[in-house]
Amino acid sequence: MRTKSLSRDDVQALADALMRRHRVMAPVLQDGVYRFEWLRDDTTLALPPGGIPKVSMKSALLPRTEVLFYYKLGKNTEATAQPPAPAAQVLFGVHPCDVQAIKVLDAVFSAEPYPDAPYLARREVTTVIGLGLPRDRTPQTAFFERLGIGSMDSRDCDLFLADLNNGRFVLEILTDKGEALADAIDSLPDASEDDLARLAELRSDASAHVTADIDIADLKERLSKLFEADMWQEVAERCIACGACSYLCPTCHCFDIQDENHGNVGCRVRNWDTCQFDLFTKHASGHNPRTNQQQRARQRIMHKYEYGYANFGIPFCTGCGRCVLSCPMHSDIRNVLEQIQEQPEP
Amino acid sequence: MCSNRYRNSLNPEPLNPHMPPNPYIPYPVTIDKITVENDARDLRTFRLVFRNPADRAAFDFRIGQFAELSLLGVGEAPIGIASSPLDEDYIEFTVKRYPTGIVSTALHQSEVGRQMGVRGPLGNGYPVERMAGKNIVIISGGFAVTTLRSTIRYLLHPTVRPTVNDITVVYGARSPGELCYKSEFLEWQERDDIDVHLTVDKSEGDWQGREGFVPSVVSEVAPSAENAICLICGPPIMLKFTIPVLREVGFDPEDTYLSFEMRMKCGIGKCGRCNIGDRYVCVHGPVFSLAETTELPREY
Amino acid sequence: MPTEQVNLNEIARRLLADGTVDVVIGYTTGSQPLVAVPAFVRDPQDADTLVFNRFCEQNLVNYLHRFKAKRVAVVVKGCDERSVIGLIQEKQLDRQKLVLIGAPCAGIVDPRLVPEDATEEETLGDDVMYAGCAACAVRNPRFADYLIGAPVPQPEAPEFSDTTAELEDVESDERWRYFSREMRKCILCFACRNVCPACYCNVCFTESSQPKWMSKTDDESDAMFFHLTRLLHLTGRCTGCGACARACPVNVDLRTYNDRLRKDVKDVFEFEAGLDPEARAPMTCFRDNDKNEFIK
Repeated sequence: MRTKSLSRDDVQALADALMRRHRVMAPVLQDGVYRFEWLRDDTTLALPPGGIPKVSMKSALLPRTEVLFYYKLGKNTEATAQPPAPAAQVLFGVHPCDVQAIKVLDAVFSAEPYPDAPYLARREVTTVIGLGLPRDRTPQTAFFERLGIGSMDSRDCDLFLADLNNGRFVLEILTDKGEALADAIDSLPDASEDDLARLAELRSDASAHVTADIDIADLKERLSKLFEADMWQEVAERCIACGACSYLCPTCHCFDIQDENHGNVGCRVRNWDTCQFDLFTKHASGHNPRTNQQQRARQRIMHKYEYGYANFGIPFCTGCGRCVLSCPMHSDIRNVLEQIQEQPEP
Repeated sequence: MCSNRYRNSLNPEPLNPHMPPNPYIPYPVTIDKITVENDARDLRTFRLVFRNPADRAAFDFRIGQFAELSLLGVGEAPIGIASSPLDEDYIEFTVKRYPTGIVSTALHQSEVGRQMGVRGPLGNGYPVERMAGKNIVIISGGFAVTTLRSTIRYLLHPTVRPTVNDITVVYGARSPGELCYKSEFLEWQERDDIDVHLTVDKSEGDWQGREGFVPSVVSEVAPSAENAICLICGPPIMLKFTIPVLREVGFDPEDTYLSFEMRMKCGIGKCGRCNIGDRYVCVHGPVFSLAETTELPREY
Repeated sequence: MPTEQVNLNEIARRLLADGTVDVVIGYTTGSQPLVAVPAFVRDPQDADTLVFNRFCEQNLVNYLHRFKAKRVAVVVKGCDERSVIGLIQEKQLDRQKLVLIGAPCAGIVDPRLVPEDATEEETLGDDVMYAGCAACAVRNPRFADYLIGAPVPQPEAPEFSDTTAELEDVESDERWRYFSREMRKCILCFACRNVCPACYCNVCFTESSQPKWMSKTDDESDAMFFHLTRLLHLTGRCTGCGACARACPVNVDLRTYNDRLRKDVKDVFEFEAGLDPEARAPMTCFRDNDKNEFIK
């Protein structure tokens, strides 16, 4: 495995170099909010101290609005056209918990019998540069270690940029996709012995703190018996049913499909949607299987920790803590997990 | 309100006539025939022909499956397939118009010759593989009969009929004017290779047939549960009262099948909205056995 | 007669124990520092979980829509109380079924302004308050049944935010640039709408498919349409409580626009929502002396 040493300035320079041949999505700071944004010539990279920007990189794989196909209307001349092939893109500085979130999206959108071609086309041209941090910079709201993810985990990354917490970084090139970025990387010095030693130390410390104490299989079993439990009343009571948690969550992937016309051309698009909105499950007849917030709050938790695991073998949550941070009523999903543990056997 | 960015000068490529790699692009079809099914005129059957002949072969479906009917510029709606898989030249869908349904409303305002799209076939379908050598009992109410009509047409086909034993059908509607596929059912009533019992909740006009709710007719007919598969499709109230009757007559929940409806968008298990518990109605359903249904949480 | 001053936990316990109310809606400590969370107390024994401090930012009046059949006590700051007045005028709330527990408030802390390494005292300084709090003219509730603290000083304050005034002086294309920039941040999560006590339509215009009033794509024109329409619907009804701006997960500057709306309503109709229970909201009545300057 090739490794390189970088200073903080080198990191910005690396992002700039990558922009020459790719679209690059990286954390920036805008009006006090760290967000993953497409870098432009005038954008400065800003890695958040805790490594987890409030607005995730989800939109690079599942855009907030994505054209499924274009169409032309006409009495006998209707036609459709595929959207253009997506351009090569680099996700720069993806925290390990967000890298695992990408795996959730991969599992859902590649599932047979209907692989999602638009997602897979985008995924194929995406290179992931993970971001590792010393574990003591983990935000208070994040709980990925409880889900078996460490702050220096480089698995499933194409490259991995480790912040050594002393102004220096190590870049690991891990896959062929990573090697394909050689022209931006080759000029960097090989990683020094000191840097590699420090990385090993920080990595060991990070791994040691991975408690993995949330037993997903057990959680799924418990939830499968809690559909009618009273606890959902409390979970839902302060929830205002907005989409903040779902939209900021890197694994939430539910979407709506709409036709957008302009005159006699248009496109069928998919937009982010959330199970927290009343319209989400409303039939044309007016019937709605979920009419109150208890049912919707329950659905969110069930989808994340029971159905996701039941259907795909992985939970739909990687402990990034964005929902905890962004909820206007400061609901905390970790409290819900505790409540689930405390429920008596039905 | 149209978003500015999506103004697009279109390059009108024709659709790939074979299985599209993009699962969201529909097969192009044209409305070939429209039949009004009921007196209230809010149920119409649309016969669709594929504009690319090879697409009909690609659209190889089983009884009980559904498709997303697409109207470009309007949207899509998930509708059960009403024609038989062995009807080679066309496919049919019976659509109820809902005032709040933009697609059903636009469809009902359409004329023969209108171009539209079909995406599918989708869903699991009825368990055809279990039907060989069995007695088939079909129970339905109202306009939920669409996929069961597909089933009856299929079972009565000369190549299929010999593979199953007796076929018993109980089908009811609120009034004679609400019976779907009326002429077909009346014809089937005359045949001796199928036992059809039509009924209405309330008799009207020159109706000579039976009057009675579907659950009580099922009770009277008392189809034997021995070596039988039951397919049942109807409004919640009909299901609620008929299922106990079936149980009394001895039907095993493993041998009784229902079909569910849900609000759908993608129809392929990605958009996350049609689930009942951990089952997506569009992929794991819409057909579930009664036994499976009792395992499902009550959110439908 | 001055309003009775009580201890929050005692009054909550009393109101529940003697059956005056079915539930007390207030605040309690959350799982994170610098924030409080809404609490719904039904058992007198849980009354001690209620707190009131400078982290209690949510406008709890928003929850009253869910409790119309119940008798409810709710903790209200001066800003929240204005929402109560507005909703009573719109016949959404029955004053007889409400007990207002007033909380004099010197300002709520904005956690985003508090440095990571701040000390306890530093978290309570005026420089870390929400912008709207610095401009607050109703620090003490005026119609509450009880007060849970001594009234706080009410300084002279500019009524509308600085950016509102600033934007008035710039050219329209500069204003458009600022508006576009803010709208591009919006992800249409509707936290602002859901947190607003004045937004209570059973089916919001955003959820209508027949007709489909608006699209929800990532084009900023959709966010603009949503916010402009919501503002229009809030004319003469927005009290400036700031809950929407605080709820926004991506820091869209909603305050500038809501304040501009309130300023226009004040200039044109001499009306401010939620201050005078006897006043009639401008969108609900016609007066002969309504200004006509917009007719050119």
